[in-house]
Amino acid sequence: MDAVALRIASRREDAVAALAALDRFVRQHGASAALIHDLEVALDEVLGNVIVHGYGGDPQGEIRVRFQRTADAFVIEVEDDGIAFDPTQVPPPDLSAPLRERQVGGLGLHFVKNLVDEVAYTRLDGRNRLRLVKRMSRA
Amino acid sequence: MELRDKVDGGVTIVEPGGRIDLAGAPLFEERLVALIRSGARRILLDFRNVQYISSPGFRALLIARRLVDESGGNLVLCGLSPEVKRVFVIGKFTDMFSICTTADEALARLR
Repeated sequence: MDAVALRIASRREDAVAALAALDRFVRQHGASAALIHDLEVALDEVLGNVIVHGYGGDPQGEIRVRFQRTADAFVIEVEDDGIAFDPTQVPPPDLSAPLRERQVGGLGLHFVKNLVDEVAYTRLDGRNRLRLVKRMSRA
Repeated sequence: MELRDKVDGGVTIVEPGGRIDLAGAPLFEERLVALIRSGARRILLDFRNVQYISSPGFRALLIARRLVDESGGNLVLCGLSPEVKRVFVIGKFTDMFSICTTADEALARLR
């Protein structure tokens, strides 16, 4: 099986179940420890954003998650019909701020952008769709 | 996420395990804050069993670090896997926290 599709509610417990499903999927497809780690952190951040910002904490929202293994990459797609939100346009956090002023706002997306190779957003038919691509290293 | 803590020779050792994820991080934060508020001043966060930490987990670390600073204490991390360490680097947290390789090294710094 080269793709898995899930529908979850916008709740943290459901997000954890989706993360466990991702973990199983990438392990079955021979991903390295580093790749598994990077994809899981990225999905954790994206789902957290949808739950908190997209649906404003409403646990009734629906999130569709799809994992796919292509010839040279893993692809994760996350779709929701929460408020329109393009994470690729979020400014990077101020990482040079002193401890007292360090904020975590924007940090999650900064992690996502640095842990995967491509982040693409589309808004279509009132839905947000985020596509993450992590290429397999050719080492 | 699993979470254990103990006191050893005046140092509070906190050992999270598994994923400090969007569901586990609030619990991690709550426990760290409770320990500091109840008097823990020297804290070792042993990350040897941590699979990953995402941004809500870093929020917990920042809060704990500020509270420890206010009380004149010290907080040291150890046992970060290469993957977890990389996320600390991406978030520029390596200068903000004292990070040791082993628990022995961290305990020596705290005692």
